[in-house]
Formats: sequence, structure tokens, C-alpha cells
Amino acid sequence: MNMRKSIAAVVVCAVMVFSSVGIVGVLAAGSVPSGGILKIGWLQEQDTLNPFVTNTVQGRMTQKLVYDTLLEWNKTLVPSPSLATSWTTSADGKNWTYNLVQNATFGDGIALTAADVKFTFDMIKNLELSAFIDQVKFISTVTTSGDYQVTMTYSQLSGTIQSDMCLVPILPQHVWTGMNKTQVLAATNEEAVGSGPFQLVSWTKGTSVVMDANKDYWRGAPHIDRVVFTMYANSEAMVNALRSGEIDIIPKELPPTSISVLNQDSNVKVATNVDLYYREISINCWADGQGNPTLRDVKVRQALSMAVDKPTLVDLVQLGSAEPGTTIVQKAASAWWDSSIDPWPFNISRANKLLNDSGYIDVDDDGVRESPTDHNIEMAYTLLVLQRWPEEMRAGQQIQTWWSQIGVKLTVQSADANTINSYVYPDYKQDMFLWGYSGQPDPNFSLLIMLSNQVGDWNDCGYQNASYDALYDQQAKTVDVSQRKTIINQMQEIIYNDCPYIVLYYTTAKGAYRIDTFTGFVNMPTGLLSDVNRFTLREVHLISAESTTPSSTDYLPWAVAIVAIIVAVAAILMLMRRGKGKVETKAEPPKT
Amino acid sequence: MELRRYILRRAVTAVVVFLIILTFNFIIFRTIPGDPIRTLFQDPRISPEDMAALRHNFGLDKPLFDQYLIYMKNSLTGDLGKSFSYYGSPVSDIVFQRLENTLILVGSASVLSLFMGVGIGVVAAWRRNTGTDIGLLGGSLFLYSMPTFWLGMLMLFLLTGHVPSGGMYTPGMDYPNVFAQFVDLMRHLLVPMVVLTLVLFGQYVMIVRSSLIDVLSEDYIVTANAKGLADRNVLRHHAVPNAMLPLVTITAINLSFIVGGAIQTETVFSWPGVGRLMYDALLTRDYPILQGSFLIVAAVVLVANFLADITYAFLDPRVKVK
Repeated sequence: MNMRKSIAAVVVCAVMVFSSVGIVGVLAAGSVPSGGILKIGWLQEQDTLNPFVTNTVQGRMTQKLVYDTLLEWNKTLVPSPSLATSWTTSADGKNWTYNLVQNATFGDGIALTAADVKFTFDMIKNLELSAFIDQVKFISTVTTSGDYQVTMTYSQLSGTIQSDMCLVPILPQHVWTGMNKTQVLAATNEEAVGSGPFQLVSWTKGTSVVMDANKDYWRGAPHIDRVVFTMYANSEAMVNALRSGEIDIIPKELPPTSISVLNQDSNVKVATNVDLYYREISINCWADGQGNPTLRDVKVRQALSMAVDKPTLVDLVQLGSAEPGTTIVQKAASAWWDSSIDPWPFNISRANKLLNDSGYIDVDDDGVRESPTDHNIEMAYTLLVLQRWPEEMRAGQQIQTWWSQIGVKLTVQSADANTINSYVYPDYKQDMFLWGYSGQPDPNFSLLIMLSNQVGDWNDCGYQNASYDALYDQQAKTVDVSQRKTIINQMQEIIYNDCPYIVLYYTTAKGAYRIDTFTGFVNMPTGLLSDVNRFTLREVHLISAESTTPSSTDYLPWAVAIVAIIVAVAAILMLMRRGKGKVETKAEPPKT
Repeated sequence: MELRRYILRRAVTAVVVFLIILTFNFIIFRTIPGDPIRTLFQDPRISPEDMAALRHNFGLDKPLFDQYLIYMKNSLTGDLGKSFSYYGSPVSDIVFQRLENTLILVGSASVLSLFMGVGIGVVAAWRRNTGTDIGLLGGSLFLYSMPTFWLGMLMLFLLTGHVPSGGMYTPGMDYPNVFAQFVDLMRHLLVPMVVLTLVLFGQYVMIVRSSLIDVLSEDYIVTANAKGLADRNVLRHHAVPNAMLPLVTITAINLSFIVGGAIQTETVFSWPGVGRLMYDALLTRDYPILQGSFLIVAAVVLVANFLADITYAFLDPRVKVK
């Protein structure tokens, strides 16, 4: 075999590989089944299928598809019947009796009865499962009467009972019985047997989650056959997939930069909804912590708050699709959010005056103020920003500029969640970090974060205030809604004035969906699909019965590949021919 | 005899290096701040006692040196432990599954780029210092220096709607037969494979070209020409075989990329390979996954280099004497 033949062989091999890829590709394009399969794109999958461990919105979202709760929030976030079709309360408000649906079954075919409800609540209480301990803490006994009636007796009056019942998933006793606490926490729960509208088929980690509609769902089966969550490693590819019809919906994580492009696509509709979420700067004010001690002074925190222009950040960082933040209750929890509070007015000179009046003077004239009690302590802080939020680095840099105008030196540092956690717990070594909290329609959890007894737990800023703690207990026991709201407003004002958090903005849930195949997407607070909104997946359906994704055979990429190969082959052959008989060597002929 | 001693020496070196890597592998991930249990069970309301129980469950309550001994013993007996973040699944199952995915992508791209690189390199050397050479070399260099993620993104945008935007299979498909599944894989593989091939082949071109040019100026080539051999015979039998030595080295080095280095391509095309697994494991401080995958990557590099050394000795008898 000669040289030309061997090059030709290489080329032939290449052609064979490419063209076989091309041929099978063309064949493949016709066989993609579709129709009743709703395809969802997301960037982050659930952390676990274990309802007692999950700590992500995605995790709670898949939980809600697999499990039912006694009550559920409706589309306006009001607790409404679910497994419990009706309920009565005793005169003293301490006995709640729920009447259950009679046709609910778990995915394995076994009927859901009052015994499962009692088992679930007893297990959480007996094993002190922290995920739902707040929901059961006032329940003293759970009794059943027949198969379809449950009565819960409370030791305390509580204003959160109905919303609590929207959170606790009812688990099958026959699956979870006999486990100790470590077993429950370490359970993978890969079968995820529940009574919800969907049943887990498979979870390929890092790739996809497949769920089939529960055809025996007690409320009537969902219209679609199957839902597939596909994980994308970057948002550009995900948006691309929506435009090309590979996925039907991006529920939440749409990058703001892609909105204008998608708005021009006639097959795609962008959906922006208020979300139960805010981003904030958590300032370390714990007296026993190791953060910069000047931050423990409320005047300093107020001055810092005044020197953050939130509307500018909304435009700069969130490209306008958010609202300036005020209090630690999410704005989407509109029944409880204190609308009378305005963002701290952006005022550099007022902030400077406040610091001057409080004795924070730049003693050594280096542009950074010093503590009045110890001139060795500068007002120089480090802000930690979560590495997977590159846009918030921009926020950090902007804040750095503003704060430099009030004699505060800020260093912005990017870190992953784990590193930030290791700063905060257990020693509170951080100065401040940028974080976000998603809440529930009931503000109980959002308020709990600031409790003194949560230091080391949810309380990541170390804020302590006895009168706030007292108000928290009071609101939890207040049943009357308007009375409870008054207390909760007071609590929001306390935090607003003391500034342990600088709440930057309430973000929106930015999603998009295709309108050419499916219809019936539900827009509601928290977005198209969330841990509160499972309505979309229950209601969405094909536009017409025969409508499937068009199985167009697509020749373009194969044509391009084949043409490119032919050109390459021709070029190489031509080169070979020109080279024929003209092999030169650099070496001079030996002189003999 | 000499060859046997040479191989033995190389093998011993490889084993020693492997043991050192094994130890480093253990230390390096434990110096990163962050607690895996805290990451796994993020709910701060889990009581310290329960945290301790969970820590015990994963063996993280033992002294570091004991953990090290257990790790060494298990690693050497092929037990890579259980993942933290994938809730107790065996590390070897997870890593080998991902390794298989990566091999499909990077393996096919490597073979393609090797063929392309050698072919173009030989042509360029043969026609050296002509317009053809400059064109081929410039083109190869241009593609070689292109950022992988950028080229990938570009292809993704240009081909939107024609090829899948990511992944390895269409999720949620029930395949009627293995052939259909293979076809689906090919559809997903095409673009990432082409991107990776384009980025990889340039280095082969340069190596083959410069090595062949060196060989072409050797006396024995002149002799061969003088004997009146046909050009193609000179190239095929006298020049090309002698120019292939450096190619063995670079192929061996590239094997390490096959296992761990395609992370950019994997991220752009959402390919569930071992590179992304390592990145995710780093974020969740999943020590067993990190250790396991680094270990396998290290082992592959060592074995590849070992094989390259031996191949060298066979290709060039002078090597084992040195």
C-alpha cells in the first residue's frame, strides 16, 4: 500500500464514520415519540427524594407531584381541600377533625386511609424529624375514627394549622413503618411511593427525572401521560432547547438576558410571576461571633442600608425583573407582607452623617473609618457571594462603590455554598454574605429565621431580640387573621429597623413555555411550576388529540457534514496529485 | 533480558507513583473547607446528636488517620466506597457509568482527530513551506487554539433545531429496540464529537509535521531516494514509521483528557460524563466520588504512560539502553 492509498484510507474511514452517523441520524429523526409527554428543562435537579431531607425547591416540587397533603394552597395561595375534603374545629379551637377522600390509593395499589395520616404525624413527632417538626409541635394526639376520619388535638391554639397541613406529605405506613431516625434520614426513598398525581419512573442523576401520570389518581388522572425533567448544564442550551421544541417548558430558571429573544418567538410565551423569594445580605451581628465587631452596632447596619440603592440594583443585576426589597416576608405572600414599609431611602450624605454622629471617624485618614472604641478596628468588611450566582458579583461590586463613599471598605469574594456554610457555622466567622430565602405562603418560617434560639440553626446572622422572640410566639398562637397580621407587621418593622438583613430584592419566577403543542399552563405566584404550583402538570394537555411534535426529517446537518467531507476528500486528493513526483528533501545530496 | 529489566523498572516506578497519588488523593480533598454532612443534610434543625449519628453512618467520626488506613485498604482491594451525595450508591458504579459516557464522546473524537491529524500532518510535511503547508498548518492551529466552549456554543446556536441541544439520549424515551437507542445516541453524539475533534486534531498535525520533516532530512531518506524508490515508498516505509514516536507520547498524554478533561464539552452539551461528575462532587464535597474518580483518572494516565514507555522500547531499541 502506498502513501496515497493510506491517506485515502484515512479519508474513507472518516467518510464512513460521518456518513453512517448521518444516515442513522436521519432515520432517528422520524422515531421520536411525543404527544402526551411534557418535557421540562431545568438547571438544578432535586437533591434527594427523601421528603425529610430535601432542602431545595426542586426537591419539594417533585415531592408535591408524588405525595398529597391534607390541604393544599390553591391558585391564590389560600389553604384548600386536598386529601381532606372537609374539616371541623371544636369550640375551643384545639380539636381539628378531617374527613378524608375515600378513593385515594398509593402508587403500589394500597388504599390511603386515616391510619396512614396518623402514622405520618406520629412518626414525625416520635422521631422528631426536623423537616416538619414545626408543623406538629403543638399536636398532642392524633386519633382515627373509621378509615376516613382523623382528629388532631392541639396543646396550644395556633394560627398556622391550615398552612401546616399544606406542607406535611402523607406517607404510606406500609413503606415507612419500623424505621428508626437514622434510617429515615439516610433513606434514599428511590421508590417514592405516594398517592399524588404522578409516580416516579426513573431518576438518572445529573440527566433526567421521568414521572408517569397516576392513572388512578383520586382526583382524576392528569391529561398528559408522562412528564420528563431534563437537566441542562447551562442555561443557553436550555433556552435553545425550548426554541427548537426539544422541551416544552422552562418553569423557573430563565435567564433575564434571554427574555427579549424569546419574546420574538411566536411559538413561545414568557411568563413572569411573583415569587416567594428574596435575596439579601446577611450581616453578622452576633456578639459572640468572630465577624467585624462594628457590624454589631445597629447604627452601622442602618448606615450601610442607606448606602444601597436597591432600584438601581434591580435594573443592573436583575435587568428590571424584580422589585426592591424591604422586609423579610416575601412580597408574594401578599396577605402578610407589610406594604406600608418602603425601602431604605438611598442617601449617602445621611449615611455619612449617621456614622459621624455615632463616632465612626477616619482617624488615620486612609479613607476608611475606624471604630470609636478601638482605632485598630477598621470598617473593612468581606462580602461572600455564592459562586453560582455570577450576577450577584456585579451587585457586590456596585455596593463596594457606594460604601466606599461612606468610608467603608468592602472586599467581594466568591465562594461555594459549602465554604460559606463553613464560615457561618458554628463560629460565625463571616462579616456578611449574600444569600436568598424562599418562603411559604404562610410567613411563619420566614419569621423564624430571626429568632434568638435559631442562632446556630436557621439564624445565619446571629441577630437576637427578646421582644421579637415574644412577638413570634404570640403570632403563632393567634388564630384571628387580622390580629396575627398586626403582630407580624410589627415583627417586620423591627427587622427592617435593626437591619440584620439588607433585603435587596424580591425576584420574580421567570419561566417560558411553548404554545404550539400543549395548553393549560397555570400562571400563579411562585411560577409556572413550583413546590406550590402543581396545577400546571395536572391541567396541561395537548392542543389536539393527534397533535404530536412534527417528526420532520432534518437533512441539513447531514448534508453539511457530507459536503464538507467531499470537499476535504477532493482537496486532499488534489494535493496528493500535485505532490506526486515532487517529494523534496531538505538534505543536500551527499557530495562524493 | 534488557527489555525485561526495563519493563520491570517502569512498572515499579508506576506502582510507587500510584501509591503517592493515592495518599495525595486522600489529603487534598480534606483540606477544602466545608463539611459533607452539613451539605447533605442542610436543614439546620437536625439536632447535633442526629448529625453525629449520620456522621457515624458515613464513617466520618473516626480519626483522620484511621479514615486514611480504611481508605487505603479499600482502594487497594478495589472498593471505592459509597457516595455521600448520591445517598449511598457505590462509587465505582457511578464513576464507571460516567466513565463509559465520557469514553464514548472523547474516545470517538480522539480516534477521529488522530486520523485527521496524521493525514493532514503528513501532507503538510510533504508539501512543507508551500502555500498548502501554511494553509493546513494555519487552519489546524486556528482550530487548536479555539476555546472549546465557544466553538461548542457557536455550533449549538447554528444548529438549533437540527440537532439535540444536549444530553446523551432523549430523556423519557422508551426505545423499541437497541438499534433505535443507538441511533438516538448517535444524534446526540455528532455535534459534541465534531467540536472535540476539531479542537483536538491540530496538535497531532503539528507533531506529525515537525517530526516527519526531521525524518525527511535524514541521510537514509536521501539514500532511499538515491536507490530510486518511488516517493510513496520512501514515505510509507522509511519516513512515516520513524516519525511516529512522538505521536505515541502525545496520545498517551491525551488519554488523561479522555477520562477527565472534556469537562467544557460536557458542560456545553450537558453530556453526563465523568468531568461534570467531578465538578458536581467538588461542590457537594462528596469525598468518595472525588477520590474515586481522581484515582481512576490517575490510574488511566499511569497505565497509558507505562504502555507508551513499553511501546517506545519496541519501536526504538535505543530507548531501553538509555
